[in-house]
This record gives sequence, C-alpha cells and structure tokens, in this order.
Amino acid sequence: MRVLQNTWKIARFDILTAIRTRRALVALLIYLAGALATGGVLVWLETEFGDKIQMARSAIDAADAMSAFKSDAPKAYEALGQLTGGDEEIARHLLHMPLVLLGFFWTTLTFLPLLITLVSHDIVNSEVNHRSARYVLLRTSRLSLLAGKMVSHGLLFLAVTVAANVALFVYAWIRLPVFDLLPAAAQLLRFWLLTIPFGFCYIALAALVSSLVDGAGLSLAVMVGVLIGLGILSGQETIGYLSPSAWKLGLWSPGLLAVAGHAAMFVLFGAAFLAGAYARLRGRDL
Amino acid sequence: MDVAIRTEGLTKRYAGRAVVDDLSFTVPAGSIFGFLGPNGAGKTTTFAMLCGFVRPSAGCATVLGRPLSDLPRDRMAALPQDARFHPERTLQDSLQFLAELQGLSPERAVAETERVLAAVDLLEARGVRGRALSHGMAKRFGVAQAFLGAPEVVLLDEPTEGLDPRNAHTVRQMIRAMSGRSTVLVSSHNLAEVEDLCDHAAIIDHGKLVAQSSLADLTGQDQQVLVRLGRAGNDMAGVLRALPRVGSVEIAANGLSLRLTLRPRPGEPVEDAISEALGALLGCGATVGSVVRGRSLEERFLELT
Repeated sequence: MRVLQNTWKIARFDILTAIRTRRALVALLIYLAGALATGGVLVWLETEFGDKIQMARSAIDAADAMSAFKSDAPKAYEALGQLTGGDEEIARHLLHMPLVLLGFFWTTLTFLPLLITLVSHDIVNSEVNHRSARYVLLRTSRLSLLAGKMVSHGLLFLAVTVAANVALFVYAWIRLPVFDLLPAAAQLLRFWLLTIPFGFCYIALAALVSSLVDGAGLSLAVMVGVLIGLGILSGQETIGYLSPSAWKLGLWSPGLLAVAGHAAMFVLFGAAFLAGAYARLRGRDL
Repeated sequence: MDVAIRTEGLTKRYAGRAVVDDLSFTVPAGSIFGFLGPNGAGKTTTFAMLCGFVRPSAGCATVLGRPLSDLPRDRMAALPQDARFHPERTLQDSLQFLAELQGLSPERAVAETERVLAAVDLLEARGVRGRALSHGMAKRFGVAQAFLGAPEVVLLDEPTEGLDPRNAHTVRQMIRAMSGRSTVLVSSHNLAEVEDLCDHAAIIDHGKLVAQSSLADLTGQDQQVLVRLGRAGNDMAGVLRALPRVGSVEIAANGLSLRLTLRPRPGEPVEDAISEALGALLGCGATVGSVVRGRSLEERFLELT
C-alpha cells in the first residue's frame, strides 16, 4: 500500500515538474503539430478525392482488394497495400475507415516511439545523475521511484495523445463534407486505447536504457540506436518476433481477439523492459 | 543498552580496494554519536550504505533493528553529503513533497516545511529553485529536510560544513534539541563541535574502526587532567609521582603545564584524586591557573589516526 501511495506522490511531483518546466508543453506541441500536419494533408486528400475514394471503395469491395490497390484506387490508398504488408483481410478492414484516422494512427505508431525517446530518454538517470534521487530514496523504495516515473511519463503521453486525438477529430469533423461522427469516434477510441500498451512498451524501453546508461545525451543516442536496431530486427524472418516493431501490424487487424493478442505482446515487451530496468536500478549504487 | 544502529563486518570495495573494511560498531539509542575520521577514511561511504544508496560488498547493518534491504524509511532521516536538490523545483515544493513521501499528511507537510525552513533561516528563500541555490543554502536545505517530522534516527554527514558561524550554531542547536528523543549519527571534521555535541563517538581510519566508546572514555575524562600553572613549584614531578593516585606526570618544557594520568581507587570519585594532586602542587609553591579534565578530542584523534 505504501509503495502505491509513494508511487503516486512521485508521479504527481514529476508531472508538476514537467508542467512547470514546460517539458509537457513541448511534448504536446510537437505531437499536436505532427498530428495536425498529418491530419491537414489527409483531410485535403479526402476533400479533393472524396468521390473517387468512395467509388474505389465500392469497386474494391466487389473485387480483389490487393489488386484493386494496385490499379484503380487513388494513390493515397495504394499506401494501404504497403501499410498492411499485403494482408488482404486487414486491407479490406481499413478500407472503410476515414483516411484521416488511418493516417493519424499510422503516424502515432511511427512517431510516438520517437517522441518518447525525445522526452523520456533520461526518465531514470536524470535524477540519479544529479543525485536528487537520494533525497527521495531516503524515504521510499527504488521500486516506487521507478513506478512513479513510469506513471508520470505514461500519464503525460496519455494526455498528449488525447489532446492530439481530440484536436484532429474536431478538425476532421469540421472540414470534411462527409464524416460519420459516431463510427469515427468509436474507431478513434479503439486506436487511442491501442496506443496505451504501445506507448507503455516504449516508455519501459526508455526506462531500461536510462537505467543502464549514465548521462542524458548518451541515453538519447543509445535509445535512438535501439529503435533503429529493433526496426531492423523486426524485418528478419526468423527472429523478427523478438522486436516489438514486428507486432505493430497486428494492431490494424479487424478481429478483436487478434488485436488484443498483439496489444498483449506490447504489454509483455513493456513488462520485460521494466523488469530489466528495475533489476538494474535495484542492483546499482546510487 | 538499546541499539539504534549496528554494523557487523561492513565492507565496501571499489575495484578490489576496500574503502570501508570490516567495520563493526554500535550506536546506542538516544545518543548523539560522533563519527570521525580523516578525509578518505570511509565515513561518507558508510553513511551511503546506512542510507541504502550503496550496497555493501560484505557484512551487514541494521537500523532500528531492520536490515539495509528493508530500512525503516518512515522512521529515519539523513543528510547525505553529495545529494542535490531538484534543480527545477522550489525549496517549498521539494520539502513538502519529501515530507509527504515520509508519510506526513498534506497539512502537516505544509506546517513542517514552514517549521524547518524557519529553523534554517530559509523562509524567505522558499520560492528559490534548486539550481539557483548557493552552496550554503543547499546545505541548509539538506539539513532542513533531515529534520522534517520526528525521525527516530538521523544520519548527518558534515552538517555544518560550509555554513557561516550563525547557521552552524543554529544547526548545532537543532541537533542538541534532538538529544534523548532521537538517535543522531553525525560526522564532522570539526572536532570541537563533536566534542561539544556528542556523548559517544567512533573513529575510523582507512576504512577500519580504530576506537569507539563514550566521549568521556575516549578523551580520558576520568583519567587525565591538564593543569596550567601561574607559577611553577619546586620538584613538582617528584612530589606528584609519589602520590598513590597519580600514574604518570608529563611537564611541558616551560614548566607551566602538566598532564597527569590519575588512578582513582575503585568506587572513589576522580575528584578526590584531582584534589589531592592540586593540594600537592600548591604545597610545592605552585599557583594553579586552570584545570581541564581529559584530553581534547583533537589530541585523541591525532593519536589514533
């Protein structure tokens, strides 16, 4: 119980620090700018090519989706073929979603790890390095410190993604001539919920890296290197499943069970990273 | 005797070199305990192990009966020597946060923050951020956070180092006020300060314990007397050595300062032996300027390290 209470106290202090140092604001602005830029392009595409897209959707429904992507569909939808890695079931499923939501979720899956890297690369080692952690660790356990940091960064990114999602949604609703509010809202909620295990995995990875590496600059460099490494690993046929990146595609699946399974993989990866971070923090001198 | 802190064979090695080497000592509950040693003796590393920051390479320790792996964090406080204050938060925010983390209610945390800030004369600086603190202010912040609430054990590593005389005096008063209700382990290079504050002490050198006892025993208050004379007498050494309760006599080169080692009979007050020696000195024609019992802690420290 005490661990949980202290975890929350540390998280609250950390969130207030992020707000007062404008770190939260910077994260929000970067994410919002990216989201609205992506949304702006996609809304323009839907506005300009709305009729053609609708026609293509009908044509593709009746035909083989993958070949339709390669022939009749507008350019923006050709990307679906790439995005789904040739998985026809997923491609058909995505076809009926507003382009703007697809684009936004894709942006989230691609750029959220980078934003987490930018903001959270020193999640553990910043306080350990300047030794303010000592005053905290006189009063609570290393587990509470790590958990508190995870909670604060998790809540920060949760707030940032909610704000960006809502902003994009409202923008699309206002700008698009045809926008089915309720189905789109349900889809947005689904994507946002999937962002939680996805984000958790990468914040835990940042915690692991910043527990292993001293110095903010070095942990940023290592984190970028690790992300590139995981991206390359995910492309390997035999051992690609060892990289969280390999499980991204499954988050687009139409079936709830398949999506839940892939989301669970991100939770598992996150838990493993977090366990590693805790083991390192627990064993080291501070 | 209740024990607040106990170490047994506590050892810390860095790259194979023992910084703290097989250190065993006990701190009686309720005492103000001086922890002394020259630079590099291992005092700060010992503090860091007792606070749980640094893992021992060997040996063990308990604080209020609990092992280092399960320290009673809500019952102890410390001033670590090289801890820093959060650079982006104000004194007030940080102290309130630490007080709440210690288990105080939000209301009590506010009140305690005010109290300790006032005690170290930082009330007006409560809005200053960590990165803007001077060395003296940071030190006073460190002391302030160690006095939050009512900890049963307080570890203070060089609490007055870098403070001006007024603030150092205030800190000493705060430590003195804890006597009896808390156990205070205090390390300091200021031996006069330790002598003034502490009732027990341990001295370490090269990571090893070289002495531990009550301050009275350590400085030989019951055995040694320094007598300063206004005028020397005739054959003082011979007269004093003839006394059964005087063990040895050292006379300074100018003949005006004598150190006597006394051997009072069992159960007899040491004052009787002192009076007898002074009577003998007066009988030799000497005049007595002052009498100081025991050796100074500084002398003892220099002998041992």
